[in-house]
Amino acid sequence: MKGARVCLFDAPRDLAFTHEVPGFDRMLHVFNDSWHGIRAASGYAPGHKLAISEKEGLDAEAIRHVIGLVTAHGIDRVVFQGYSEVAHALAEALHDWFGEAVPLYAVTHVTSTQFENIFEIRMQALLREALAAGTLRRLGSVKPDFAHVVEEYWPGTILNFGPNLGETLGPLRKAPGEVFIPIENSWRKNLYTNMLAALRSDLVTHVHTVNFPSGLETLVDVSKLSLVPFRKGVSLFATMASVEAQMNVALAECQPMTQLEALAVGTPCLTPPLRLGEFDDDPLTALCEVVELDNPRYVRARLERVLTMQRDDPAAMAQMIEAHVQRRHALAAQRYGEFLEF
Amino acid sequence: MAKIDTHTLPVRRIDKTLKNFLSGGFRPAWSLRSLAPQVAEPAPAVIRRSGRMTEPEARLAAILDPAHVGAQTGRGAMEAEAALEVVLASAGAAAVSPHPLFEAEVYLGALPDAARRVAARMGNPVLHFLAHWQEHRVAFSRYFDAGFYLRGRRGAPGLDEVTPLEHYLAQAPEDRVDANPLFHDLWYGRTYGREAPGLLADFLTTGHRRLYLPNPWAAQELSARIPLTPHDLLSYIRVK
Repeated sequence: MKGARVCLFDAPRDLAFTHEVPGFDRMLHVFNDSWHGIRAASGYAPGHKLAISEKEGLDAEAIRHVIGLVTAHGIDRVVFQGYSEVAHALAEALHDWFGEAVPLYAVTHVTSTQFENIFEIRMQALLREALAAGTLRRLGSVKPDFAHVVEEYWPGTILNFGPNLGETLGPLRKAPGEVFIPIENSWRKNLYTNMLAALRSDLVTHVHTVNFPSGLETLVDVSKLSLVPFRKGVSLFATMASVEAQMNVALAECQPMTQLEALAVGTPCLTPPLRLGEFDDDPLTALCEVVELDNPRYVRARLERVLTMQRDDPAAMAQMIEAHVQRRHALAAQRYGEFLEF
Repeated sequence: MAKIDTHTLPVRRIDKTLKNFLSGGFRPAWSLRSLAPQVAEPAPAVIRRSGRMTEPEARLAAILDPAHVGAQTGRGAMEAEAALEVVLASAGAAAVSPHPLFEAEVYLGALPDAARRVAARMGNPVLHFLAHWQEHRVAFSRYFDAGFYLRGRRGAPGLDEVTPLEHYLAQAPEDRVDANPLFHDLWYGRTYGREAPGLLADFLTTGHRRLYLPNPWAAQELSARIPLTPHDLLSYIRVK
């Protein structure tokens, strides 16, 4: 249908696991439909959702419709989660129409290590331009201390919400010896080091992966490996819930959604140091953050420590994770509230 | 890096529709300033038997939809003058409405008590609406969003002199600005071959019953409504 560009408002998949936080019901998150991590982060956060497409763009009819949606639903704040040329065009149109009545904010989900992709630098420049022009009111980041990268950023760290599962999944028994590595095969994501650590561990009998580490079979025995299809939603959460541990020891991260999704179903997830000062004193941080990122032996040792605790005292593990998740969501709401000037 | 198709970036290559929508430009088909304060020129379609029409009557005639009056009274097709007489003769919350986009019950319910008492003395509430809306600026329809319309027309001449409904109905077809956030006037007209002016009224009286959609994304946003009903469509665009 002519004029029907990607403009998905409150799509069911974006609301399925949304948190409800009083006072946040009139905010709108705008995100790119194909940036899955950011889309998940936006979906779990409280408020309305709008998926747009950087690839397809937005025409006049679509922008007119977004203006209508903001009006019809009484939206009083718009947060651009991630940024693009298309998001910028929309931001300018919204600012022109609503002015200060509907302030616009942007939250980025990028680290400086990703600046090798020139797109990321261009978008930071565009964000600064939008801030200087008054189109955007504030810039926020989920990466701690990002104001040291681009000084115009709000000094606090935006905390991502994990999925709100409620009663969706009951307690699932964890399959002993099974580990899930749901990361892509890229240099930053460090798939091979994660694989080697898991495959070499005697405590691990099964490694589920969504990406096969091509060539690794020439160096090590990969018979423990099984390729699982790309999953999402409840199917993904069930997979995460059924394993003893999950691994996401990447070389650089912000706040990985795979970690939050695993924690939501009571599965510990190894990550690199995330430097979230809010959780410096959290026992889960000490247990799951891995410092030696490119050393499979060290990563294996940390994995085995997690698996041992999981087996020795599963109730303590579950309680530790639950306490962390509750605290995180409370802090996430508080931090968003501060950023958005509620 | 994904290729950006500049043909789909409206702010960079702004098309006439969005530019008009954002700038509030307005070129009326006929000038509202032709309404003289004491003795009005008769509206084109209605000439009173007395040969003279007061200014309120002339303004009422300009928004009169005889078919809508006929539908309310069960008289079917009506001559414009007869419809005008019927409207002027009725009063109160149940008064005959001159146009689908004016709802007496909504208007009276939104007025402060003192204003409501004044309206009661004037007969049909639409007369109070035409004379005093600028003082109170309250809702007069479940579907016409005055705030949305006025924002789209900001800076246009005549906005402070007449009601948003008069302004909307006097728009030139090619310069229409929408009166409802979720109803896309131009798109609706093109898609369903409906003629201006006031296509929102067409949707309210006819279109929704035929399950015509109010915008290109309505089907998607109403996908949970199975089967989709005319009532769903009205609820969807109702101003909250």
